[in-house]
Amino acid sequence: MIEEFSWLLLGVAAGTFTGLAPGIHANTIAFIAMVSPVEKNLGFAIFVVSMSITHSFMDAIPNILLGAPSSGEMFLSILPGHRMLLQGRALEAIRFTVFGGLAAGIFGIALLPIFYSFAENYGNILPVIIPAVLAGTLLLMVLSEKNKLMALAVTALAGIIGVFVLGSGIKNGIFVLVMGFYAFPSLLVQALSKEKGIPAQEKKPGEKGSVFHGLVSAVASGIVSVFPGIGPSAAAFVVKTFTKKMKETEYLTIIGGINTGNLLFSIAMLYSLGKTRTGMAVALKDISPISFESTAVFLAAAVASIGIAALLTEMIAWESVKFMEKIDYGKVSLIVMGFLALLLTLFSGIEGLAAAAIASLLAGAALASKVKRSTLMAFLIFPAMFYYIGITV
Amino acid sequence: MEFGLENLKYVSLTLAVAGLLALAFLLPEEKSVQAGAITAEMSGEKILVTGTIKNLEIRKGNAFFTLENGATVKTVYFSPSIEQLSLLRNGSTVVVKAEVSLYRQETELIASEVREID
Repeated sequence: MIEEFSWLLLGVAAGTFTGLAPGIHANTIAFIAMVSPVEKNLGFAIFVVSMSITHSFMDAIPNILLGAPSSGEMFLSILPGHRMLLQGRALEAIRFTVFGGLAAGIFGIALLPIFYSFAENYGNILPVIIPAVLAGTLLLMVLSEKNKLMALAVTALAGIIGVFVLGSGIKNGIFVLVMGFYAFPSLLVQALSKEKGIPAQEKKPGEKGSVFHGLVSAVASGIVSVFPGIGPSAAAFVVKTFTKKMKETEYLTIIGGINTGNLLFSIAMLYSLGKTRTGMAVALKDISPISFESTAVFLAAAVASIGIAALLTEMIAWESVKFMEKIDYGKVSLIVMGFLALLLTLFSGIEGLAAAAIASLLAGAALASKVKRSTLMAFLIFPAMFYYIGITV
Repeated sequence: MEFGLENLKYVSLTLAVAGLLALAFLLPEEKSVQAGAITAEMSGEKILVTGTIKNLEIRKGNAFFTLENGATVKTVYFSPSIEQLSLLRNGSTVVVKAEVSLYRQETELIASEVREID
């Protein structure tokens, strides 16, 4: 037992580090865990769970504090977290994502039997409805963009890149495309940014979180875990589409909740459907036999990690805000970029690096034309749709 | 319904403690070990091993097989129940709860439970 508890705490420490490091995606850390030369046993599986959950809380800090445009430009079109940062409310923004994660954890555990029962009883009809749901989600995302033609082009190209790279035999294709579409462009933007610091931030007491939006995020996470290809940002977008005039703090509650709830539900879906909906679930399937007993252990580890990570994020959020005011993100981003490029070359070869570069160019085009990067999720949605329709490339 | 964010730490702490208690309760007594990591020094230890059943023989109500997963380990299951016996098939992947034992200077497992993996 001591060994497993030690693995859990080590996972919290590792998740804190990876969550705070800019540009490292949750799937990347699951992948690194899988290829690491450590004995793959139950303790290591607990490590992966606690690292992924902690990462999902901690990454709110760099996501909110880094990558915001300067205060004058695009103020209305930027992400709610960045908007709050520019208003000096970064700490409040972080606390609302923590609240979302915590609420999704509590409601998620309560809702697990419902989603589990749904997956058990209706799992056989999912292959029929999944293509329609995925196509509907993509359509909704494209139609919500101001520049619909560009959004359609970005979505189609991301989908085509996804189909070809994942079917090309390039090793660790998902890792390659996550790096290309998300990590490298964000890091490059930060490295090239003229803004070296953030505006002065304030500590504001007495904030109130909406419990209803915490519940919504848990329900959305459950739905996301049933359907392949739909990530947390796409799910948050769908929720936002159906909820008119959502406040910034409510949006942050939902995005924080879906990020954490998605991981929690993916453990249950791995057991009930045998499907891997997150990088963490892929790693768990590889590390440990999936039984009722091991699933219960993973869920308990996830609940403990949610509590510890929320506490820890809450404790270090203000220190992080103060720290981020002092460091040069540009240099940090360049170092992380170099590290990730090295990992890519090692695990996916030069062809993997080339594929990531092509994906980065498309992501850059999306950023430049103000098309939301959630449309790039087409790289996973297209192959999933093709798979369920029965088309092989 | 609203929640004061100044109370986040109390809820977090409660959830952490609840999760840790649940984990302590749910963790198996046996240590999960890979077939290749089983050594004679582990004799007497109770472990969980995952592997594929090969060379299955049923003699006098006892099951004898090898468990393969990167390495191979001889396994004997004395008087398994009919339900447990039905899980034993050549080629099926199972988790075996067992005690490490030495028999004629060779390491083998004395199984006490077998669980099928989907």
